[in-house]
Amino acid sequence: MHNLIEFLKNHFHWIVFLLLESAGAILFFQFNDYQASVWFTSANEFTATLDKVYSDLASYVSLGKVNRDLTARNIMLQRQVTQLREILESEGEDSLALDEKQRRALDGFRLIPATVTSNSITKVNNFIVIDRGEADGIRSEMGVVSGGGIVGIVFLTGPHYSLVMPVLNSKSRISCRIRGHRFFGYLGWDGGNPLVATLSDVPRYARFKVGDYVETSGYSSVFPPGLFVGRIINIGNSSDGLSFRVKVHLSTDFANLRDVCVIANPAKPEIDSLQVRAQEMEQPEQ
Amino acid sequence: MLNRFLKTLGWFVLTLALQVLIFDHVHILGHATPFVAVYFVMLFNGESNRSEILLWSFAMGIIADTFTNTPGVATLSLTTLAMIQPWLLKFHSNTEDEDDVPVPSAAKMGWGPYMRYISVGVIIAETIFYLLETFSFFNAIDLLLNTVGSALLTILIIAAIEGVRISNKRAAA
Repeated sequence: MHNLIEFLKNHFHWIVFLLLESAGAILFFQFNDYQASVWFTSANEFTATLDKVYSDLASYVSLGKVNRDLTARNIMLQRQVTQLREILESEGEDSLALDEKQRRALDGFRLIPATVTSNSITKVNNFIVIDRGEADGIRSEMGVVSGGGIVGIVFLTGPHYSLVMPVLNSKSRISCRIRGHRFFGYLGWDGGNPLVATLSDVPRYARFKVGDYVETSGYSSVFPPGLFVGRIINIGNSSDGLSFRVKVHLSTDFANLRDVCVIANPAKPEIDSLQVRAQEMEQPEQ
Repeated sequence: MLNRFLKTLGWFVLTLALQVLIFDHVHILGHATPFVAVYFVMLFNGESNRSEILLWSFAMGIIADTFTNTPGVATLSLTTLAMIQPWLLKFHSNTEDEDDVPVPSAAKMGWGPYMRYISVGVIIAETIFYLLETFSFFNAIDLLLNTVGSALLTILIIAAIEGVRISNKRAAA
């Protein structure tokens, strides 16, 4: 105890120095906007790197389970493909033409693999950080998918990391359709259960049932058509009674998300510029 | 004790007034701005309490910052300098006897060691000041010109002030 007091007495000026420097640093970053913005950008990069290390470690530990899940899913998908192929062949379709059709589904889209470094599912507006940024060709408003289904849309991009607005964000709206029926609506999330989203604006005359599949409609340039979203678990009416509100059990497990793919559509800038021009042409008439 | 406090306060007010009223408005060729507040930090002798030097320097920095709208910049620069000032003084003093108290004065140390002592202190303070102020190496040449220009001008002004101080002391004696 005596030694401790002696030590503190001899090094008291270091404590004073650290306190004063901290006060100076608080003043510096609090009241200088430029310096604060630079600091928080660097800090964000630092945080993202740390998150990545943690996520890499965590995923390494759970590799066994991930491998088992993937194998099981692979077997299930292979069986499904075989069954579908048999059905189509029995309907008289050519097997070579079928392969060509499958290839064409993602034709024109580039897939950029990425890893989730941080993720949340408990807030009303959740965000996901992935370890790919502008340097890897990621741009805002690109679609993000995982093995399970759609994940969300790139919201902000940094040089090496990007922020994704997932389906589990109250501001997210993704155009989807009911498989086989072609009725479409907008997929949103009201908070709460991270496995259930809502498909709204489905027309009243649409005929479908609980258990039907929901997939992307392809009406925007973000996602190609036909990407799996989930299955219908409940059908209800909208508050104005003019359309259906459909509860969808999401196929993506957001609580256990790691490997994702960003979908880059080279035609997107062209489609966007056409849409902007169309809007500009509409405006003078209004 | 009170006498020493009043003397330090006097130098505090004088250097602060010189800094905020005159030298903050000097921008030679858009690069060199004297940072004479450094002189106040370099004035403390080897006997001074280190926490005391830190507190005085922090106060000097925070007030100088409020006049130039650079919160924290001069504060961090002067507080860091205050931490290393006792080592600089000890290193540049020719005190052979361990009991001799190092005094930062051209009269006691000789002009050569005194100017080296002041130059190192000024360069450290100016480097920290301009690194924090620009917070980027985007205009590295500008950063270098600002640091070197301001450091040279500050060293010259401090030499002039020290000259006046010595001649006043001699006249008083």
